[in-house]
Amino acid sequence: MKGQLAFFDIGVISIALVIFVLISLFFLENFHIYTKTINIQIVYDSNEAYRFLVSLLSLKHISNSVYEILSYTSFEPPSDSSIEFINSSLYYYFEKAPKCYKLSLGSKVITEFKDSSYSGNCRDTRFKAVAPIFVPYNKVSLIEKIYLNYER
Amino acid sequence: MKGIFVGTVLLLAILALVISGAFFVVLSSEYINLKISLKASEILIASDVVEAVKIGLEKAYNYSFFQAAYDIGKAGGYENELLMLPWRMYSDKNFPDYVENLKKKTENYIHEYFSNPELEKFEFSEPNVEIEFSHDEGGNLRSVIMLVNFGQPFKYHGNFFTIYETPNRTLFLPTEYFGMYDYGFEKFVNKDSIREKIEEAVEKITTNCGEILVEICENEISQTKIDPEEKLNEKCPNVDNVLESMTIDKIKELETSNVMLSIEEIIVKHEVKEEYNIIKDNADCGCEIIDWLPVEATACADFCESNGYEYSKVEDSQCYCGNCQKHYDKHIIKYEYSYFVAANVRVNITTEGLYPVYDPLEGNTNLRKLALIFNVITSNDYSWNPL
Repeated sequence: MKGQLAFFDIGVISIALVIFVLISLFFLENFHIYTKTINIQIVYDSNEAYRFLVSLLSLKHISNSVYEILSYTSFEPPSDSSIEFINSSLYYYFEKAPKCYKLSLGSKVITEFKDSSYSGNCRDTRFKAVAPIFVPYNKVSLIEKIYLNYER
Repeated sequence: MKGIFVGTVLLLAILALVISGAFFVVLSSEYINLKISLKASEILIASDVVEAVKIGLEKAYNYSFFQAAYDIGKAGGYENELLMLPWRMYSDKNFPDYVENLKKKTENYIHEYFSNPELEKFEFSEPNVEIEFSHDEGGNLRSVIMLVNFGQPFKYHGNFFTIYETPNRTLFLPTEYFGMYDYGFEKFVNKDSIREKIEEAVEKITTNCGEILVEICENEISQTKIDPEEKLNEKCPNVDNVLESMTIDKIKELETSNVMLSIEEIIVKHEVKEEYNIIKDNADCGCEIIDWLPVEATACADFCESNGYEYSKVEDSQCYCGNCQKHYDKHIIKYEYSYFVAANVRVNITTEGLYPVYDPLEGNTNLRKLALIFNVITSNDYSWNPL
């Protein structure tokens, strides 16, 4: 009997341990999936602003491309209709109104928006992209940086 | 009991090993995943930056061409303004190889764009620019394309990867820019339109002031001093000044909304040539020899006149009547005036469209018309080269 009890104990403990191992592995797997999802989200988020910026640069408004409109900014500020076009394109990308966004060429702000609930300067945002753009020839700089910052 | 205890400890040990092993695998896997994610993110961002540069390549080529076209046009198609020569020096023609100069300059500007420190992660090889023209059946310029080729693909150097992309592009160039050269060549080199206008002005002045006839009798020559310049000034006062302003007006007729002409220097001169013609024994001039006949008359003059004589005189109480045997000769002097005009004209042809270019004199970039500026030095007589 004593031997039977010992076997029974071992069996119970073994089953409990197997269940524990399975639960642990399941937990670990879940943890793995969770972190993986977070990673993918980070990759996606870090790239989203760049995708928007590149898409914006390749758009065309009336006879000029957005690229030209932005690169002419140093000597010819964009017209109201151009700004309106850029804003509507950005809203289209964002799908819903962001807390803030700012599009700037170097230190010059081309367009920006801030929600009443947002108090920051929309500069050091989670979503940000920067790309070099060629500007018409001048003696100061041939390439400027275009920045897109926004906060969802 | 001892066996059960040992078995349980063994099981727990195995279990602990399995769990810690699983944790180790999962955690190291998470670490690797995190690294992969960060690298993936870097690659994605890099590919977007490369994409932005790719979108901008055509703009950079266009901006380079516009600036080159602006610079070359202002230097009359020559490499720079110091090497500039008049497109025409009387009969000599100096038409520049502007396409070659344009290609070189565009290549230099493209190189300048791509060697900018902002593109430090990018690597571009040397650009090669070709410009190709296509004409319609009538020989008119239909389109101009620029082929920008590089020996190698451009590279983006990431921390652990390199992206390769082709920077080669074909662009359409504004035909109106090249049209300016065609127009300039046809109008001022192939055909010397300014000379034609000078000739028109000279012809007009010659009609009124090209010839003056002076009639003078032989007996008056010694007392009369004829100055052909004075004669010309009497007939056509300030003729050189008149011709100068007439020529300027005529040259200005060549101007259009896109073609401006400024006369930098103009020299006018005239030459006179004399031609003599003598009419012998001209009745208009006085009588040189009188055939006198002595007559008996108390009123000598009345007698001679009533008897049909032209002349009468009384010498030593003797009356003489006479007729002219020979008149003085008449000299007809023809002054022929030839007019010469030489002008140095600056031709400034501009495009209709505006292009973003930098002007070193104004020190800024703005939308400007591209201009073709050159000089033409010509005259109505190519053998006279005063300029």
